[in-house]
Amino acid sequence: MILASVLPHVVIGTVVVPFLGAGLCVLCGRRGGAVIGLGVAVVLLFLSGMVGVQLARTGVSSYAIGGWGYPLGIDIRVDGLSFLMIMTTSFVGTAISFYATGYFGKSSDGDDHQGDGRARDFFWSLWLFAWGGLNVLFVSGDIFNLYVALEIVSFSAVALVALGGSVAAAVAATRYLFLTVVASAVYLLGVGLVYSARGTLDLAALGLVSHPGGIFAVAVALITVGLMIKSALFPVHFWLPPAHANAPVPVSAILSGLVVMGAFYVLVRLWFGVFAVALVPAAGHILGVCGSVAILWGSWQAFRQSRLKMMVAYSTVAQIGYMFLIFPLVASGSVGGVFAWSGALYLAASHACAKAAAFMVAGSIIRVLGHDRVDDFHGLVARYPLGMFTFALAGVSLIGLPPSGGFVGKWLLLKGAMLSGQWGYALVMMVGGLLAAAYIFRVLENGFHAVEQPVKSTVRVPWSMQVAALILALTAVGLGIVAFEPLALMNIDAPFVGGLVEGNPS
Amino acid sequence: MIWGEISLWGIPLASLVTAVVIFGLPDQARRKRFAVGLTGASVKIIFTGVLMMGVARGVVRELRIPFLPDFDLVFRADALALLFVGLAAFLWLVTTVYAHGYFKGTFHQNRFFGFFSLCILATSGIALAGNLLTLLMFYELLTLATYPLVVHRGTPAALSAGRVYLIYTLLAGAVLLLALVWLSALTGPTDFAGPGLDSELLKQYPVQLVVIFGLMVAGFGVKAAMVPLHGWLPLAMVAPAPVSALLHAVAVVKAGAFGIVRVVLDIYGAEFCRQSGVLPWLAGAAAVTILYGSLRALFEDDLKRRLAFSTVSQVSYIILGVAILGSSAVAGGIVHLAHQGIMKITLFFCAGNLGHCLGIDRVSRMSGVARRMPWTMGAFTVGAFGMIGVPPLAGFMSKWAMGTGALEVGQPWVIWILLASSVLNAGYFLPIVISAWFGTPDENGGSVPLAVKEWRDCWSLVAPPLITAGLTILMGVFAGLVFSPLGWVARSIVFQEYGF
Amino acid sequence: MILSVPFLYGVTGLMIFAIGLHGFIRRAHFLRKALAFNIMSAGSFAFLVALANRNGDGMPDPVPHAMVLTGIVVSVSATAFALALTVRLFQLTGGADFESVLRSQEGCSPETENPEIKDSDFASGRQG
Repeated sequence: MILASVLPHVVIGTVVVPFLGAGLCVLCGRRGGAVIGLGVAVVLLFLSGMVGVQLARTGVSSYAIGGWGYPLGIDIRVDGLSFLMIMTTSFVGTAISFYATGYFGKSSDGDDHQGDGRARDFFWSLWLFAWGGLNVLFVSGDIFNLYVALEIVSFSAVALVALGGSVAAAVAATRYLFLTVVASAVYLLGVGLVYSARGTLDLAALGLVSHPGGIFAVAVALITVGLMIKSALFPVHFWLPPAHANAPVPVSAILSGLVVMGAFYVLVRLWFGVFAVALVPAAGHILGVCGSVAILWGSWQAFRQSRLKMMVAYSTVAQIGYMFLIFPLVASGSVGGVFAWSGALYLAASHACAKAAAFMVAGSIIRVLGHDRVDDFHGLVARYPLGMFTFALAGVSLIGLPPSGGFVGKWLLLKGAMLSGQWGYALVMMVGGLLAAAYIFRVLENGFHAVEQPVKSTVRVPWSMQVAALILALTAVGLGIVAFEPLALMNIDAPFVGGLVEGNPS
Repeated sequence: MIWGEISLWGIPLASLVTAVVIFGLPDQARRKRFAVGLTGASVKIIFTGVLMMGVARGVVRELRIPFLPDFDLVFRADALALLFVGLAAFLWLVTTVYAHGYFKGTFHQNRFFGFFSLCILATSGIALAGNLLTLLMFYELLTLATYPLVVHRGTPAALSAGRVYLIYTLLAGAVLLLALVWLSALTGPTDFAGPGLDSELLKQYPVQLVVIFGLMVAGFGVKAAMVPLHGWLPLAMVAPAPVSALLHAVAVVKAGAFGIVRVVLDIYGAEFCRQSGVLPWLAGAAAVTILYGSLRALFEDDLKRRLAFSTVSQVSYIILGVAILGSSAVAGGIVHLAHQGIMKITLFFCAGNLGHCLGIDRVSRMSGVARRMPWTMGAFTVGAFGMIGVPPLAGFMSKWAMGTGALEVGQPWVIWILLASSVLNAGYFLPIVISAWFGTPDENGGSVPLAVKEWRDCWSLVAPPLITAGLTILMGVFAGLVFSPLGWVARSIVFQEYGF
Repeated sequence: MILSVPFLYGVTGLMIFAIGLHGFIRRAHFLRKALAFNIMSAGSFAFLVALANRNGDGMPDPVPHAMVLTGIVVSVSATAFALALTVRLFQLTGGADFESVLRSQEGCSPETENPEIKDSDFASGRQG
């Protein structure tokens, strides 16, 4: 019974704990960061699980902070979609934190490089700020609150990129910063227009209003453009690959796995929760076409990269494209939309696991070889089998081959495309999968290339780095075996999903 | 009763656990790895036996795991599934022995044996799949698990063969996925246990369903190496002999053929196939493949490539038998799944022995080789005669059944295909056999003690082909018994399951 | 109604926003970009302030004002952040726009075209 009284408040913990941790990290300085960060990660993982328990028990829930509910206060709202995001963030975030303890661990020869030392000192507080911002994002029931959360996430993310220390990292961070602040300004303008048209900022209340009107359409367009930039949808994707590739490896994993997903989440939340009245198929197709080009272009660019980290970063551009297919497929309004909804979000969650794992392996490979030039990976399978195995598992999910979460997501998206008669998107997904196979197997093929003398395994990668990557990759694959329960949980109170969970919609 | 359930879980798990344990072993632990492999294979055979006894009593086990909103994961141990599982499990055991000797003293054996077990896992998954989605999942897993085996040596030739293999199979997988999603969008989820598609649907979607059928056949046809989708198979012969033996004679190509059997008999159903008029096309494609593969084999000097083209040809017997769709023809086709597997693995083992022990990989250098390796060439001869269809060997039984079946349904042209193919088989196998036994050795190879030497030095290489060659004889001679493959196919599959 | 004072404020705000956006895109120097971004923000703040009169009875709606306050905080931090990065890049390369920064990289290290792993990864590569 004590559980029943505590559980409703747990959600506030997912927001408060990371910020407290971030503050503590700042106070404790360079020494305590890893301990605090890891502690916060574990607590958050536990709290997210509790949020899930609460969701399964009572369904969607609102929480009025300090007892001030709508319309005066700001509501926190948790439905299946929020839970999916919180849980994914906690799980991937915990793994990344674990990885980071090894990555930023004490250097064996006492050689403390300038850039690296800085990265180690500031990583934990910035990362926890970003984490807190993400969690705020996922539980916000208020469109302006979303703006604030987006800013917290963006600024922490830019700072994390800058931790790379190199000129390339600083340039990438600057470009990222400029684009993201413009995106924020555009988004804010859109929020202003929404408020002028509706007189409220509460998501639920906004969703109830039924006649769109011209101002509202402009607001939707502005907000959408802002979020497109933040989630790096083609053609405004160009800031992403250098930013993700030049950051320290744990940061790359955070950005590609989680931060991008955050902006995508906001767009999904607003389009289907708030703008549902304004949805016209044509608008969905604009995003759908951008997403399709992103899939093809991103995969092709990934294939052409010479560095593994750049390849994985371009792969993110492509995977974002898959996620954005949710808009045309759901906007079609047919039964296919039900599938596409689940598929795109499931894909986002699996992508977070797989992509973080891929970046982590890239980091480990850099430790082993001292570089990440794909064409010089000869003999790597013999030299670092666990790493290549992990990369292959993550790759399976990125390609969308079974069994993997990526496959489940793609299957549902394909089914959505077929049921709504949108063949073009189905074909794009198939071609995108094959291109993804091309770049993943390019890495593996080079790794399998025999070298003159078989090298004994000389890996000196901390085990925390290896285990974290392996667990994430296994999870990405496992999501393709145990899919029923996660799908059911994430679809609690989803906008269209009535028939899906029960069974056969067709 | 509980044993049936355990066995159904146990069949895939036996391979999975074996794979995981082997991956965990150090590379030097040769004996332990051997023991683990043997144990896994034996356990799998026992489980298969338990389920077979159940099926013989009329109990078909099914396992259903909720998975996607539109599809469950279904495992179903029907008679056809168990035939394939049994074949895979038995040949896994034999090949484990063979590979143990073959890879002696080489590196990365744990990687090889680990992925090898995963391939068997994928094969049993394909066999036991109870719907097309489950089958597709394991079908793709098979692609992934075989890739490391194809490129095992890491040479440029192996890597480029691996690339070709991937291009073919991944494209095929994509086509198959598309077809499956499309089909399920039209008809809803379809289990193999069902009666096949309703003929009413044919009126509703006459073109679409035929196109989907074509896509599915193409998707499975790549792994079954149907012409013109066979290009990857001869190239993949750069893989080590155990890989060629088990995977390219049995697991991979049979998975493709098995998929087509499932599509024809279980997804679309015999009735639907007859009405929609797709079968003559399928039979025609199979016939072309049979003749083309044999013709190409005639002109190959590389022994393994000749065997590969022979595989191209022989696997399509299965498809031809099913496409004719008479009771004996179906029986002949399906039983060829087992017969061809046993015979072809014999031949590949022998080819591997020649390459491994004597460094001979070309037909033109095989003159008199039987004097140096009499045991090996004895087994080879039995396998080759089986392939040609010499009575009473196993190959003869399949061809006989198919011929009878063709006459039953009034398609005598099939007889001519079978005859022509047998002549061609003789054309590319007999010269090998004759020159091996009666030709003069081109090197000074010594004489009598070599038979003893061969046996003593590499028993683990010689015993497996002898066992499978023996089976080739037994399966033919005792084909009339209930528990012979042919008896099993005719009684449990063709009669009980599909009610021909 | 059309030419009411709040309306003029709103339109002016949007125009300032547009001017800022134009400058942001056209100007290369980081400092000018930062300034342009501030002008954009000012424009959207003016627009939001004008919205506060949505009831039309002279009683301002506090919500847009609260939004503006938050927006100012965000814009100040963004500016500070941009300036810090600009200073850092200037120290590292002597340039303060993308073109010159990248060019200086090409000049001094041939690796930029095919960027090697940068120092962070390099240093950590020797750990563990």
